[in-house]
Amino acid sequence: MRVSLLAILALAAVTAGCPSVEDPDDINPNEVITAVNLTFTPTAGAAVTASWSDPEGDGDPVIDSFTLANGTAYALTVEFLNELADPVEDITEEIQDEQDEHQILIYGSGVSGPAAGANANARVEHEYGDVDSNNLPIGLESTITGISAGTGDFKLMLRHMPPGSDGTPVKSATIAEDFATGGSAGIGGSVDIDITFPLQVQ
Amino acid sequence: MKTFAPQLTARVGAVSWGAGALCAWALATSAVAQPLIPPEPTSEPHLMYPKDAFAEGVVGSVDVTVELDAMGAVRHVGVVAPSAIDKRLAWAALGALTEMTFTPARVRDPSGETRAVPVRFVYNVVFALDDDERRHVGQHQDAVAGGGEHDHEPGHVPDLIVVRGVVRDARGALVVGARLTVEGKIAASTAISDEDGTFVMRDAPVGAFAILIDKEGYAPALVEVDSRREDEVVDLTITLEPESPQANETVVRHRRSRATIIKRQLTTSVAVLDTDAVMRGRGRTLADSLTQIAGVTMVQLGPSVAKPVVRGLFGRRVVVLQDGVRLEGQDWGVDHGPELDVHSAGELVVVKGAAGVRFGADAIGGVVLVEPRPLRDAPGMDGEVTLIAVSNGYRGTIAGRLDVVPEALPQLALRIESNIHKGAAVSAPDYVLGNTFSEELNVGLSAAWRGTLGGAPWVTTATSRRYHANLGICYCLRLNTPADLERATLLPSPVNSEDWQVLYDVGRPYQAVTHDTALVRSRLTVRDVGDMTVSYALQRDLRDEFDQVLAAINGPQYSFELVTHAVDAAFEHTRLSFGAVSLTGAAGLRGDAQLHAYRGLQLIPNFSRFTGGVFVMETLTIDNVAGLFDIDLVGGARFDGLTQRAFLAERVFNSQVRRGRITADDCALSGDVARCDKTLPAGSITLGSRLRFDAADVRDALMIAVDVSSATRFPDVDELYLIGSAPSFPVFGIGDAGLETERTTQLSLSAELNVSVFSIEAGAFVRRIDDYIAFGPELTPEGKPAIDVLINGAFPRFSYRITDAMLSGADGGFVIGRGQLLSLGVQFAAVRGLDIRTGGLLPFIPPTRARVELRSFLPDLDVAKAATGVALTKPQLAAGVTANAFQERFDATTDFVTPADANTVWHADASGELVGLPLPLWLSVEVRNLTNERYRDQLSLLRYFADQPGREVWLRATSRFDAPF
Repeated sequence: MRVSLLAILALAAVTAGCPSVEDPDDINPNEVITAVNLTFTPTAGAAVTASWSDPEGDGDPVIDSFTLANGTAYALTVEFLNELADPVEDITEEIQDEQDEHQILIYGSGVSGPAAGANANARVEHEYGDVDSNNLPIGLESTITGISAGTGDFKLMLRHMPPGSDGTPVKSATIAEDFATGGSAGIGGSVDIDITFPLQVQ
Repeated sequence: MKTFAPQLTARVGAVSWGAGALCAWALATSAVAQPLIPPEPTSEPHLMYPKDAFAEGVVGSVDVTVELDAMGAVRHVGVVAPSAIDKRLAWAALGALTEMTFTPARVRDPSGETRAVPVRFVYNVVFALDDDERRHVGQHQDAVAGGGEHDHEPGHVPDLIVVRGVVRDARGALVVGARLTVEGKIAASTAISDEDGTFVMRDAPVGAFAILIDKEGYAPALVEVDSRREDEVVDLTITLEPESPQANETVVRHRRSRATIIKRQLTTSVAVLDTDAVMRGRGRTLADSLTQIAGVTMVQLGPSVAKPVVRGLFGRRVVVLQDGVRLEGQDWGVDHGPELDVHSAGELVVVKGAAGVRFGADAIGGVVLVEPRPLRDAPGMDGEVTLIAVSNGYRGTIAGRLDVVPEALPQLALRIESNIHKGAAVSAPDYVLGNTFSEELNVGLSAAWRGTLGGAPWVTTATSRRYHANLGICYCLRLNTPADLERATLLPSPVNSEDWQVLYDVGRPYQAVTHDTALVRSRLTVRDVGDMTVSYALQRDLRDEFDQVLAAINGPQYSFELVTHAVDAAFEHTRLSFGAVSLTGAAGLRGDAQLHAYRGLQLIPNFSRFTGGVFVMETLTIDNVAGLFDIDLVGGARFDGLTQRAFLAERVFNSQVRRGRITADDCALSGDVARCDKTLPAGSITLGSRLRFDAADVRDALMIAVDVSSATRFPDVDELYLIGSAPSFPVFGIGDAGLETERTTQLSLSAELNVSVFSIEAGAFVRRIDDYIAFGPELTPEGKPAIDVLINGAFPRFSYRITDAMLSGADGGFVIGRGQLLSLGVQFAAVRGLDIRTGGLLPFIPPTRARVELRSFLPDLDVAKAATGVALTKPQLAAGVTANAFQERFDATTDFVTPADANTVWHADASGELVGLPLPLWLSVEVRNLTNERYRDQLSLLRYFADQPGREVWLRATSRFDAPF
């Protein structure tokens, strides 16, 4: 009997193993985004770029402000990076790959548009410039037009809306409008990105 | 006295010494009865025939139980079955015996030495008449009237339970025709074992009593039972030894339940859900089951993830022990349920308060004990199969257990148990709580070897258990900023809930949890010395949490692995008696080593951790103080120590240093890993006193206890080094490497009254926690909430800070008419939590709760028995309501949303056992949330987003068998 007890013990000890603890994994494969780069390209002239970056991923970000020209239309492209990976990983492609589950919402005190609603104090106007396979906006490409000189907040949310087990899509045609009226709580999915840039239009 | 005079005979079963002699058994606490030298009367009984009864020609026979202490003094006398006896005769018999004196009973050890022991025995007094004696008895009538000081007043209706079981001989063969007699204070309950060795005694008393088992050819055996009102049914397996002229020794196997032992050891409130209560609630989570106890609630992440809240504290402040092994899982997270198979529980015990001395560091708020059913004793096999079906979420469970003791090897007991559960998403009244599926697969194997070591009984048990669960998290539960949380609460239904369906599919987000336990425990019982127990337990806890992420990512976002090796050794000495004073107690030590590996989104570090502790705890019992009560005085002390090393990635370390959470003294950076060492001592003491009063027919009918206990808790690694977003709560959490132990001192009062069909228990407590580690919002130097700007939003920074906390409250309940055609049960619990330093309020304090239930214990339904042979036994019907008040004491800075509204939730159940079938079949129907009420639970993380589950119909069926070899 003692022998079999020992056997049970030994077996248990083997199956449990000893996890290696002395070498903490820094970041393992995961959906980590640490930086968002915005590129505003006017039809003529130099592009304006702005970056929001929290390279340590610990809530200590570096945030660029940017200045757009009143009356000018810019093509906005958005890029998402994981700077904790080495080399730096571009997440934009993966979002492009899952465009039916993602949508970028541009809102804030300085914005009017689908996700911001009507806004008397808006400095810029936002318009979606791309659609997914269901003909719904994504927002990786947009048009931003300066409409009034002044300052305001330019906010960007990346909404992730994977369908549930039942397969019903969560992303719908009215996501931006619902967000404008009901806020984040009023739409499905989860927040991957929600950042604020200080905006100036002159 | 002549032939027809009142006679004194002792009668206990077939063993009788005739008139004037007595037969008695030692009330030894050990499981082995010893040869006993019976007490001898040293005075003549002054038996007198009551004048009136004499005049009326009343005759009768009175059985009187007599208890002697170790000095031979009469401690207690009581009339057996008083309702059947003429009151005057009963009083006369009591009066005579109260005044008698005896030599102490003695036990002879194998060595031949004797020692005095307390005993209990029955005297039979016969009142008979003839012409001569009539005159003689009448002369003593005055003295009878003056001798009326008895503990027992005849005529009380006793509180009754059912005792049933099986009688076997040492080889496991069934013993037919054994006579069982209760040796107690109230009812002369008897039973005879029938053809299959089984017996049922329907009118056994509540309290401590003994059953004598008697059968020609076997040594008489005495089984001690300590029953409670809630027991209702006590199951016994009795083994009779052949009668032997050499050693008049009897093996008695009836284990005291852990609950009984714990209740004796502690003076804190201890509540028990016995086997029947556990069976009635089978299929619920552990925490959900425990909410039947006043003062216990639960925090929930959803229908299948919940942890118990004991008097306002939970998680890391409540220790959970399964089969005596401290559960080592991820109990720090609000969204982590206890990782154990609740089907393995035979009984659930909750220690409502600090019990650091007995259960070690961290037992600040309370202790939950999950006790397995005892293994089989005699050769044969028994088992049970349970099926559970729940309407809401189409949930189903099948659970089975098989116990075997081989005929060829009766020292060996084996058990295999397993259960499988699958459930789809559960629904609230108006919508489906999308993705709240549940899956569980649990297996347990046990083997026990019962041998002797140098003549002393020795039991070694090896157990292996696996708990595995996949638990879906509601789609509705989402991480949002505080402002969104408020808006989400106001929505009539969660966004997209109209699309959610009742599906079994495993979908993200979900938790996959596997907990393995291997346990070897050895227990040696040395007569007159005590019990020595040594155990080793290995646990491996794996928790993977899967979020909704990009399809390219397969693995979990949070993955925790915790391996714990624990060694326990305890010595419990036998009762040391010094006359009316006796001492019981235990001492022990514990050591454990832990390794924790974490992979995933930034949260907590890896660590290795060693803790050790020693304790001693003694109970001094003084019997019969001032003729009024017994008193237990409990004292104990414990010392624990911890040394721990955490391993932080350099980047995380730098973040913490930059925030001032780690200083140069805390950690040493070497290469790209920072090693952070921590060594802490912890001490705990306990002092308590319990007064026990006997009532007319119940031992310890009233118990009043006062307890002062302390406990110390080591900070967990998350408290020291956390950095990251809590997956289920919209804050950014940061630890503090400088934290040390938190210590609680608690004063509690408890009272328990059990008389006749009425029982009441009540407790009140006040508990101060010094250096309480509070998780709450951090303020900037300007006094505004600190905000952390993360890439997924701006969140309030929550940090662990030290404060002093005060928790106070009261809980209790009563039952009138237990076991009667109509019984009423009422429960109440209230708790308050204060942050003393800031004057603020503690979060997660349950609202005041009340529960009322009407239960009807119906007579057996046997109308169809004649025709079909089938009858419904023990039918019960019940309906009740649980009401939670609005938690008006809340702090808007720690909870972002107004607390849940007050709510009332109704339930009903019906159950009974069909007998006469090839196997008995216990059936129950329970309806929870009977009125399909929409409500939110204050301690559920779902409450910001969705309602609690709607109406649920639970069907349970259990069939058991017992086949001796």
